[in-house]
Amino acid sequence: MVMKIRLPQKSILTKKFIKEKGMKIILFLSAISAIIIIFSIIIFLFRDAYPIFQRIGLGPFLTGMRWNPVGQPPLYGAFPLIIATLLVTLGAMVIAIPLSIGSAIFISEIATPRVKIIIKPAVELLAGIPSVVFGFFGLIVLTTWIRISFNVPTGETWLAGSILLGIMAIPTITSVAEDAISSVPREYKEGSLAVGASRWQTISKIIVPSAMSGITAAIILGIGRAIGETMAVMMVCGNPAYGLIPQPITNVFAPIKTLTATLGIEMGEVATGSNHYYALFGLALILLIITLIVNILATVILGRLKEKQRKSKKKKPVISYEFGRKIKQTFYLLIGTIVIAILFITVGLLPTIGIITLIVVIYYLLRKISVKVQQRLAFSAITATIIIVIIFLGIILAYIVTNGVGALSWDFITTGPTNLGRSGGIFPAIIGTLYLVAGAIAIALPLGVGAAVYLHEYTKEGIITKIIRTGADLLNGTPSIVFGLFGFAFFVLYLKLGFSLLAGQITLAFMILPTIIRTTEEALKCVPQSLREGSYALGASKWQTIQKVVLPPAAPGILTGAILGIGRAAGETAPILFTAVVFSDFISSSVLQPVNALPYHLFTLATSIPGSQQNQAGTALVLLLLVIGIYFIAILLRNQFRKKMKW
Amino acid sequence: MTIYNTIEYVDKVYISFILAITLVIQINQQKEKQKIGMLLISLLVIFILGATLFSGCVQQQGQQGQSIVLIGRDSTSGTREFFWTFVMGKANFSASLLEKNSNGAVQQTIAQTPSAIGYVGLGYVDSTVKALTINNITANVQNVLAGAYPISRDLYMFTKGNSTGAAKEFILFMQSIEGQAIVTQEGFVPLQNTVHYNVSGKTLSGTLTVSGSTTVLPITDKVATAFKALNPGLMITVTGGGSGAGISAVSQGTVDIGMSSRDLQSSESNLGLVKHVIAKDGIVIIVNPSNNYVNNLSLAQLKAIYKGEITNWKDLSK
Amino acid sequence: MISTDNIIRTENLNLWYGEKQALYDITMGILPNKITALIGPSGCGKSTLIRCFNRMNDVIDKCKITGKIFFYGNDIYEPGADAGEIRKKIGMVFQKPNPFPKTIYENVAYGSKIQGITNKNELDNIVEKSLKNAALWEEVKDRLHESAMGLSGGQQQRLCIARSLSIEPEVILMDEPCSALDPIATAKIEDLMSGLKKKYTVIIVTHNMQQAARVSDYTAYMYLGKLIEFGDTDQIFENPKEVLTENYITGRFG
Ligand SMILES: Nc1ncnc2c1ncn2[C@@H]1O[C@H](COP(=O)(O)OP(=O)(O)OP(=O)(O)O)[C@@H](O)[C@H]1O
Ligand SMILES: [Mg+2]
Repeated sequence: MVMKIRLPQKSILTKKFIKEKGMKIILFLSAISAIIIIFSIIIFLFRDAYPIFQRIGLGPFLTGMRWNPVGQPPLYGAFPLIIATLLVTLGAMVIAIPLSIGSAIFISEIATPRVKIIIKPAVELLAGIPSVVFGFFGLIVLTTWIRISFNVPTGETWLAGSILLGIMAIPTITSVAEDAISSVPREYKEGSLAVGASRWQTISKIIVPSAMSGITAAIILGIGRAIGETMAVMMVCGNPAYGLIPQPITNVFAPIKTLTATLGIEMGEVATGSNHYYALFGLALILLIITLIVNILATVILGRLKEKQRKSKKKKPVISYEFGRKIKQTFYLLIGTIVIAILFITVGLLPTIGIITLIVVIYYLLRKISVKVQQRLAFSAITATIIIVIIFLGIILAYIVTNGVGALSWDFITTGPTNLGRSGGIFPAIIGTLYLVAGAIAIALPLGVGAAVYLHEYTKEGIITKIIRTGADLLNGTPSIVFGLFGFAFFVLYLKLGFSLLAGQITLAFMILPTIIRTTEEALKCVPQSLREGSYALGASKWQTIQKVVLPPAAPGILTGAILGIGRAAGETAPILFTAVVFSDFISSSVLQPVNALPYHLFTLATSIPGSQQNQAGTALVLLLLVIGIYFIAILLRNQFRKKMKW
Repeated sequence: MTIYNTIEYVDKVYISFILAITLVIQINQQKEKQKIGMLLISLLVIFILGATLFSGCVQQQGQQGQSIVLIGRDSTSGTREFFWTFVMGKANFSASLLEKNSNGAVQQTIAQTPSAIGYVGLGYVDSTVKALTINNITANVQNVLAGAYPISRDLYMFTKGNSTGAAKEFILFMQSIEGQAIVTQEGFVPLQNTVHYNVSGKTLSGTLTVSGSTTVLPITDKVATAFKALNPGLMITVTGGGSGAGISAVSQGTVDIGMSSRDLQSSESNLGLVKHVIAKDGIVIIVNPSNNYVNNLSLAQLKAIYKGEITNWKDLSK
Repeated sequence: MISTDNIIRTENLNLWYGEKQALYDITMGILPNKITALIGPSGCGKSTLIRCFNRMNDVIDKCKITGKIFFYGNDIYEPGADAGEIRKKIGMVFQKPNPFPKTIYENVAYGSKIQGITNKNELDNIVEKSLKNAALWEEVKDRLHESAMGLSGGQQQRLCIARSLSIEPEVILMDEPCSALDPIATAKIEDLMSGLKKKYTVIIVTHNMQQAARVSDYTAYMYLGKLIEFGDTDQIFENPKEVLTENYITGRFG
């Protein structure tokens, strides 16, 4: 690569100095923007939640058993909503964890390169499907399937929410876990194989245990995603009045109402300034706090992991080996007893004994089976997980494509809707989405790149970078509906922007900021230090070096980040739900007017306009094509980029 | 759940066992085959036990397909507030009520769910659902107009202070014979004693923004189209968002007119808004077309159903 | 050294990494209970060759092999052959010490455990014996249940040797086992090798000419993927037949 480097001229040295300083300050400000945003979110949520805590008390709010804000007397008990959120997430994890870990093992250890090149992007594409499209699919296909297969009165249940959330969490968990597994040093693997271990023994005894903390972090991140998900959950969980905890609590066929769904449903029509309004902000605050805790946990675990990799050196164990083993044994014993007790209580003595005997028999049989067959069984099971994931993807895509393709036509994408979207096209929604996305990226890209440049080029790893990175990670884990409420309280009401394009753009920009910071940092890391040193050696200043030497080779990486951000912004509904969108057929002429957007158009058609099936599927297809297309470009770019980045 | 249901579940996962068996066939050592066979059998037994356990954990569903699935609107909806006040006498809804955030969502759920019951505006009734009569009176425009159909309410538009200019003309047009014709067309109940709209000499220009209730939205949308035909220079934008959103938007001056399916709440009474009634709406009780248990309900029965005192369709025929 | 006594023998072994050929037509035989050294300039294919002997190249996706490798007369690359079984007989010690992130005990017991040995006494014996054979026992006997990551580099390498001894292989492959170690640790491992010779066959890759001359019985010189010369260590170092070998040994290489 040819680099043009201008040498400094003496006369402008002071001017240059000011410019350098100025640049540094600007970059620093963009770097701390993530922290400012996360703090503003907390402050504004708290500000609007405070009145309800004051009026009914924090204790009663958290522990109240009923959510009935319009009843007589109004009841603001968040407890059942919190429990419901946890239950749905739990169910989602039961589905997502085995499938994701299996997929991660498959991708990193079992797949041949040719298979991997197809499977990995396929799983990532699953992440690209907008949550409203999942909801649309869930509402029409999944709930009906559950109702008929399990012969229950309604399919809008905890189970439906968990299945959908589970599928949605798979790509997050898979990709982080896959990273963790892939970064287990090859030496461990070879060391294990060299003493005659089979591939499966190596995977199960060496690789997965070594990657355990990364896998744990992956699971926690997945939990965070699931807790914060709004649109899909809102569309398929039924949302019983008052929250209502399932009876008995294991009844997966009970409808359930989560924190996010409550916000999504009630926020739109609530009277601003009423107790109910404040109570909804109280819920949002709880939601934010839960996800913050979860994300901080993941950050800490991942941080430890990195430290361990860096140091990997001696540390005396805090507790002695023998003692540790005792603790472990007692722990397993305890868990075993609890499980047996639960079994005993729920199914009675005989089945319990039966199950235990069977488990013991299976355990011994498994040990008797030769290593080869064990491996074959294990690999089949792992392959099965990835096949299931691909089948999920296939079913969703196939449903939307087959139903939507009939609606697609030139007119559909170039004309406005008529008869409330039952007929006509979706042109205003497409334009609205483009406006929103363009504005969001125009705001987030400079901020994000600035922050990343500051983090990577201007500071040493230390407390400041740690805080900023944590801020970005937390922002990344903040539920999209929380962004929506913050946008409503801050832009729409406080800054009096009203329901407007601008409010939506800024809200979306905040949401995608962490993605851009992170990908830009990755890209900067790939620029070899020698390039910078070469530039300094020629007398270039820091900012000149960054501008002329560092940023150009990092551009493809930054572009990838921008595209990922665009994809996310294009598919999100919750952040714009209360800040920018209206169901309309006009094209805004100013940033202070509201807009329509594809995901919102789909949401409204699917939940409010009967008889619009054809156009629902058509809108879903267009949205899907748009978002997946964007992601696809990003994936291609990344692969291209990785190839080139081998300096 | 009986063991037969459990066996039905087993049926549904046969496919996984077929997969497992192909796996066994792959393994060519005879000894291994036996062990795997045993393993599979134990897995099968565990599975059956697991399924029993699962069904034990799940609520007893009673007579399947006959327990009532209650569908209603979310707690901020104007329709719900009306239903709650008028039908329920402000008594609590059953806790098993499923909340939907629009009339359309209620209608769609009822169409999909055989044992569901719900309430929607008159305009949302079509062939995918079955409308029940109340006290043997059919829900239709005539009966609401005549005051015979018991469950009806007003629909509103709000302006900040007295309406002026384009907003005033638009509301007048809406309340005129021409506007009310569209109300009727859309399946809502028109106002009575209306007059023709006076087309004044000069046409209006500029912009007019309306937003709010999703119940009122379809009417306003159509009326706006007609009004634009009279005033080609006027740019009208009609958007949804919900009654609360409409009221807060108009009170902040971000839109000219707020649509609402409910009256102002006490927290909204000091915003300086002026109320205009623009139509009436009948609330129709709908069930799935396959529901053969009922065609008619009394208000008392309806209340009992929504309070959760009647939970099974069979109990209604008693 | 092709002879009927060969414990390992290769015949016309060619190997490609994707398009690139890394080994050309290697035919050589390894004699039991001897130490055979592989020397040659960097990138000539020593590691590649030694990794063929225990099929460690299977791990690399785009690696393709033709020709035959016999272990006691059985082709280890024939379709039915079980790589795991072969590796139990042919152990390997790597260039960089690679203990697992487990305790010292677990590291040594790992090989036996995966073979299904669960009896604690038996495992204890194996661990003790292997560590003694690797001359590490005295240094670690009081800290068996501490992490192996806390050992010094030389100790870690001896731990890895103990790990490969624990499953009682017949051949031990060592790929530059001393390259990461200081002279004292190196001397310890060289001592160890001479001791191991009684029970095991050792193949060692080294860049250290003196080391090859000191410890090995036979030496093979490789250059650009080809086996240039293979013979008695004394003969190779004192009067090499090939000019290339001589150049390398006398340091006139390149
Ligand atoms: N995984 C691989 N993929 C592609 N090429 C490889 C791979 N491993 C080795 N090579 C190539 O094969 C050739 C032989 O490599 P090898 O590692 O066997 O050399 P070596 O003699 O052990 O060198 P050194 O003394 O530096 O360890 C080299 O040209 C190397 O670039
Ligand atoms: Mg090497």
